[in-house]
Amino acid sequence: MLFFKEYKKMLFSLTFLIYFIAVIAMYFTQFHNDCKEAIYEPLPGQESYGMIAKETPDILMPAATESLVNGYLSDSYTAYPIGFYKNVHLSEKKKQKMAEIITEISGISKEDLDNFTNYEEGGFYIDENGGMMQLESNIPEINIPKALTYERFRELMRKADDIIGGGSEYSDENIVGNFSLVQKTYEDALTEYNKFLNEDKITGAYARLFCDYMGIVLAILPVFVAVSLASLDKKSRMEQLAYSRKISSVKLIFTRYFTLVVLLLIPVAITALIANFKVCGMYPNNSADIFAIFKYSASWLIPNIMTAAAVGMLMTELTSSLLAIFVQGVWWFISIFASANGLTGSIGKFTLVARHNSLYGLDTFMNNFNDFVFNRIFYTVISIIAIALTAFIYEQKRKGIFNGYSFRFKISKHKS
Amino acid sequence: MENKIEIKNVDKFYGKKQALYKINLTINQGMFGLLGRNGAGKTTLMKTLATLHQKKNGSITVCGVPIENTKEIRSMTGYLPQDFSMYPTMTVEESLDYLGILSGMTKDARQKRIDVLLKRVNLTEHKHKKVKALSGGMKRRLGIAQALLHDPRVLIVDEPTAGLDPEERIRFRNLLCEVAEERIVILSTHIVGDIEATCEDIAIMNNGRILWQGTVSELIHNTDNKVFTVNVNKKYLTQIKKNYIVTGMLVQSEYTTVRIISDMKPDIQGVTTAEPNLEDAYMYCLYSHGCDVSGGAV
Ligand SMILES: Nc1ncnc2c1ncn2[C@@H]1O[C@H](COP(=O)(O)OP(=O)(O)OP(=O)(O)O)[C@@H](O)[C@H]1O
Ligand SMILES: [Mg+2]
Repeated sequence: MLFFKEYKKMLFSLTFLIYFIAVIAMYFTQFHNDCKEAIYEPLPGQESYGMIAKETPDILMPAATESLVNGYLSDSYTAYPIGFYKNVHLSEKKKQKMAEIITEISGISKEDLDNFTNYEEGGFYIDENGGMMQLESNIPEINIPKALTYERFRELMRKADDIIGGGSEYSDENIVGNFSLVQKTYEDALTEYNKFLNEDKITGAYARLFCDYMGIVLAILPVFVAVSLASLDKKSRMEQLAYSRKISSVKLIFTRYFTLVVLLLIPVAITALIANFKVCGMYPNNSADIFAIFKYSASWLIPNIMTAAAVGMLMTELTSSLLAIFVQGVWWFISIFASANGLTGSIGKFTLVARHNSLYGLDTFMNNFNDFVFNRIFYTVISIIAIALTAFIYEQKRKGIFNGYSFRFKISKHKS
Repeated sequence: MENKIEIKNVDKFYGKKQALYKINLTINQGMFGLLGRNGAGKTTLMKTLATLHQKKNGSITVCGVPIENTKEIRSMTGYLPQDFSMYPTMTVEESLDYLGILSGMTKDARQKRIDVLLKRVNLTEHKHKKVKALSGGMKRRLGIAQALLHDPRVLIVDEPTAGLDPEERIRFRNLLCEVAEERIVILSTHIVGDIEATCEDIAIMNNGRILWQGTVSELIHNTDNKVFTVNVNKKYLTQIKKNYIVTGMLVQSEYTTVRIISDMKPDIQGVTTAEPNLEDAYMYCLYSHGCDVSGGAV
């Protein structure tokens, strides 16, 4: 009952309309726009089939070594220890340890490393013809010792990852994807294509791309609708009327939250449906899984919506201000930034915005699948806890025990 | 279960500021009027009774239920706040329906009750109007309807007659009296006329304290032989105002009829004793408790 009332109340609000339009617009400008050409079966003898990450010691070892030397000389390592981007600098003691590793894998002596002062990162310059040329990264010459085995090398990389603090490019999870990219062979391309047809059933691959795009907006836009809903009673000056009635705070807040999440899913369901038709239409001769996009959307996107909506409701109840939008905005920005360098399968345990900006990479996704599941469950649980907290705060305000923290940018002046 | 509200030694603070001091009140079935000027603490006391505020000390029981038992208190209390509105885009009927749901009423019960109440507050023909299109008086009538929706045993109405036209005000008072036949109704106001027409029991509040509690006739009785009228020339008015409490003034062409309150018969020529009314009694009560009432009318 209350559900339908709340539903009607929110459905015709301006913020929801704007949200609705924004989500639909995101769909058409991004995903829909990307779906122009179908993927065809690769033919033998093509010039290139694209790149693929494949563990190849001859490629991996020099590439990782060069990167590590660069990192050491500039004392700056990229890492995602808990899924968020971090630029790591090492202490003197750790530098010593890192130098030992580098000496062992690159043949550069400790003295050379220490004396190497004129380090410059590779950049660009404009040549006399006006073309852009890449500067050679200016580092000492690397000679990987013949005696160094691949196993020993990987062991050293694990140590380096430890020194950096985990989650670096040299970790077991990341090293192959980062440093061992090779040209796909025809067979690689064919295997991938068959997986696309048989395992992903076409729509699975598109579902990941769909969720990648939609996940970005769904981690931020719901907060606006949530804030507008959570401040509606106060804005309409009917707080006291609601406060003095029998309904329990838990029931009221959870019903409002549930209604909100269902409402926010409407444009997602609509775009998922359109996407499904669009993709199936691109492959008229293949049998596609007509549920894949919905399954992916439910597990991938609902946690985003739940989180942003919960932040909106909690912060608004707590502060009676627009602070929620600021908080969610910052979080969203960090999360997007955190995954900016790896748009495929970049699904850490704690990144809010899970990215997978590709129709390929089922393997990468499946390798990270446990993290993905953990991540989505984590955010679902966190959201529910946040709403339980919201209900608690609501009850305190209702009894006049707590009046909310004030911030400068109030939604409306407190009356009587 | 006994039908009364008992308030014992209740203190209430807003932060460091004390708003209620050792309130002791017993409120029985029927209409109870809470009279006091702006800032007296009427709203504060009523909100405390409606579980929207926490008291600091003391105890309150409503029909035997301690106020801490919020759920039960809320289910048997109807509250009309002094300052309120509803979702502007909902219609009158929808708003009531929504609040009925919040009170846990079934669909059937809501439908029946809403029809009856809309008729009673004279809003039936406006039931499809949006809240934002209502006049101030209509909104207040909607307010009383929502407070009565779940048929509460206790009705708390905070200055319900503010902004009503005289006709509506009378309808409203009559409605409250009808309602009070089987309920406890607490009405706050600073308009003495509302109380006079409706309430038997009253309390006068000032500065967070109860100055006086009793029946209307007792209060008026206190003022017997203390109200006088006299016809004076205009030029003595300032002097009279300085020395006595003036509760009425009727300017005529040659002289002015002044109504004054005084413990002793004023030493003015032509003074006659008058029948006290509630307004006189209220002013005298404030005055006798040391309040500054030299401003004149309430
Ligand atoms: N939220 C609040 N915070 C701090 N002080 C408050 C608050 N609400 C009321 N007060 C103070 O408490 C006192 C009593 O206020 P209250 O609103 O109860 O008076 P009232 O009798 O209802 O007045 P009125 O006739 O103007 O409605 C006043 O001095 C007021 O300034
Ligand atoms: Mg008041």
